[in-house]
Amino acid sequence: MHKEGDIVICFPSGDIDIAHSPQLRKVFDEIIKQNEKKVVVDLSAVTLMDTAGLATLIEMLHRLQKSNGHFKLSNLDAKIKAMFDVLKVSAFFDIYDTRVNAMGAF
Amino acid sequence: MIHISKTLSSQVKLIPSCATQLIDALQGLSFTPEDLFKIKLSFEEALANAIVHGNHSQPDLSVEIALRIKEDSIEIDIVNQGEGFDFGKLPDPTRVENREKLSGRGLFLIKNNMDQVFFFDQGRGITMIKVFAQKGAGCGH
Repeated sequence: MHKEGDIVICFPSGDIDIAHSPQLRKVFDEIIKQNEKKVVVDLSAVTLMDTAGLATLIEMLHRLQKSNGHFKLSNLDAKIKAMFDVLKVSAFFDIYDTRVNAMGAF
Repeated sequence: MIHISKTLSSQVKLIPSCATQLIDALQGLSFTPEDLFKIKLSFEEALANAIVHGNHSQPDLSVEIALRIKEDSIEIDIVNQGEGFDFGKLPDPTRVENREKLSGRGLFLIKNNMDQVFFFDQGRGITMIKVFAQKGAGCGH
């Protein structure tokens, strides 16, 4: 995690599954604790996401919305995007092809 | 047919390495990268269900895993030691009222990713079947 201006960039890698999503939740906890309002999660290095990982993203989206923050995703692998579409959750998120586009959309 | 079985303690931290072992066992078979992704994801979801919902993450309870590589498909069984569940009453996670919930998507995803899915032993066990992309790619013995 790092900041570019007032935007926090998260760059998780590997599989975000039930065994690894608690690590991502800890990062999100820290972002909430620091009262950040603009967050981009760049998923370009994520190889698999299970429903526990997805739940972690939905939970963070809700937490940021409650504090009038904004949450954007970028660089979803096609297979992960297909999973989002199957589960009909794509519409919840602001999804961008690139990190730069996501940052430019705030 | 090749038959591989394994017993796992009910700890979610063991899921990734077990999934990697499964995918390693499937290398050389005619699955596309997309199929392997779907198999790995379904396997992790089913294993997580068995450990968390079936065995309530009690490490002294085990999960039995079986992989059968057949001539035209693979079959994966995962069985827990819990009380089972009514698999006929699964809510649809894609309904509008369920879409933002934090749980309840795993079995839906498994059914979507695999070619056939069966439950047995009052829901303690699940069988997931994936057919090879190219016929004759499996084990004919």
